[in-house]
Amino acid sequence: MKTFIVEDNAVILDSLISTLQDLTEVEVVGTAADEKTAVSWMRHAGGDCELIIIDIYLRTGSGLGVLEALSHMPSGPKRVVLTNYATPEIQRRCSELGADRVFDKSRDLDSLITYCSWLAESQPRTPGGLS
Amino acid sequence: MPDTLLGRTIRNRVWLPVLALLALGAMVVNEVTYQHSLATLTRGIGLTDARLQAAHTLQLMTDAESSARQFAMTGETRDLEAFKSIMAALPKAHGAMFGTLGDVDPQGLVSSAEVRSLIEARMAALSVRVAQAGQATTPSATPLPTPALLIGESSRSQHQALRQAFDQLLQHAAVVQQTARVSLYDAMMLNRVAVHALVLMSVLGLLMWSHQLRRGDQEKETARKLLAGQVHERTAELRELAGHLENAREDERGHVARELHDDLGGLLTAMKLEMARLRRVPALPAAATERVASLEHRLNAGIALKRQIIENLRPSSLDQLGLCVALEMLCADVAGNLGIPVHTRLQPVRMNKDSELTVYRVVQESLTNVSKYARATQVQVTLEPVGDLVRVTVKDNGKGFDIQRVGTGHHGLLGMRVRVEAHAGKLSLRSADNEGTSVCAEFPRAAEHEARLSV
Repeated sequence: MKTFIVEDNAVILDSLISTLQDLTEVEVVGTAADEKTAVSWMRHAGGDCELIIIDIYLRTGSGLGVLEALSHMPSGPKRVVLTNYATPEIQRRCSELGADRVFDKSRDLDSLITYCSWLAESQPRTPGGLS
Repeated sequence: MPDTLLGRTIRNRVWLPVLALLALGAMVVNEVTYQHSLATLTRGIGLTDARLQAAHTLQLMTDAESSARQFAMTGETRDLEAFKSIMAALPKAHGAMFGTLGDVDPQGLVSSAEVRSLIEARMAALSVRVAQAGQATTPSATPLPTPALLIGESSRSQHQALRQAFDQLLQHAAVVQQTARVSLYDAMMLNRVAVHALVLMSVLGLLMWSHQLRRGDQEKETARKLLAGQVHERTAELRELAGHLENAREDERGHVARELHDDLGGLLTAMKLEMARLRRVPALPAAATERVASLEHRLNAGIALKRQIIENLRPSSLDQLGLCVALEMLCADVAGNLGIPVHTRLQPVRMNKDSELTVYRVVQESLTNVSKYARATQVQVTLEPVGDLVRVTVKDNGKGFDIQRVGTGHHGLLGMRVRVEAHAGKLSLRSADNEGTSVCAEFPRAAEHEARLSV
């Protein structure tokens, strides 16, 4: 499952990529560390992306901005927010901006992994292709 | 007193004895003039008295003469008696006259010896003739000699001489008096000039003094204004400095928060991910699973601690979600910790980032105080626009405190005030025993371009 990750912390990014690719069917096709890069990638190369994992606190800009930009795009990837401080307020805002799920980096990592696995399995495959 | 020539001259101590001397001199002149005038006037009056007495004496002598003449002609006892009584009265009269003249002319400038001798001679002659005339009444048949001394030219000329002598005496006395009178005029003129001069000097002195006073007042006023200006400047400088310090502190905190968040946070999250992978390793022995679980527990505690520290340093929600949301979260946190309701009434307001952070800190500090001291059962936090200002209020129904007693050095109140004022705001505090506390801060609304509407 083609996945794009928006995260500015290199340590977390590495760890996340290796964990997801180890435990799930996720295939990380691109990363971005700030809002602008993420949005422009999505516009130009995000056609067949199936999952996008977004961190709120980025180097410049904000994950919320990415979400908002995405909400104006007729794109198909599932939008997942992975953040450091997933308070009810933030969850509410993210939902308002079109996020499908919100996960807390400290509490919900297991849930994230489970969700990614489930998503990868339930994605419709290209005709003729095997998973 | 200004340091001008005038000021210095006045200040000079020499003035004191000079003034004393002048005053003494004026008084002496005054006194001397008075005494002189008194003496002169007394003598003037004396002269008039002397004239009267001289006339009286002359009159008596004339009477004596006529009595003597009468007696000589008629030989009547009545005339003799009259003569005798006049003669008795004469010494007293001329004695009085000479006495008065002596007063008028104490220096004896005018000689009265001639007049005296003339009077005595005349009196003696008269007495002799009268005695002779008395003897003539006894029967002795001696023919009476012509009382030459009583009638005729010699008598008349003697009398004339006497009168002239009197007049001369009185004239001399008058001349003496005149010189005295002239000197009296001089003295009075001197006195008059002295008094005028004294008055003028006093007025001048007063004018100078009042001028100096006014100058002194002006100087004081200028100095006061200067001082007030300096105080104002200092206060503004201090306020600016306080502002800088606060900003530096907040920046530092933000910096540390960021490092914790990025570096430490990253590591801890990576560890959590490793844990997740570790848990999924197949055929993990039970003991290992237990250890992993325990390890994860500790890791979670570490993450929670990191979070708490970061939030206290720099509320992340403030930057990302705005003031109202950040305040909501803060109040919810405190309500959870204290177990009492923290009601909020937050309206979106337009402020710049620094003022937003200040508002957040004021609420944070006030809520800390509530949890530490107030023992309240509910708290109300309000954020609202009021005219050109933004007002934030934190009100509790706790036990309050005596503002006068506690002073602004405690409970972080001074820090709050300095902070608020450094952002051009105003802090007001109301509290009383058992009546709760209300902390209210007002800030100017931000201009359009430098604010964002916080929701």
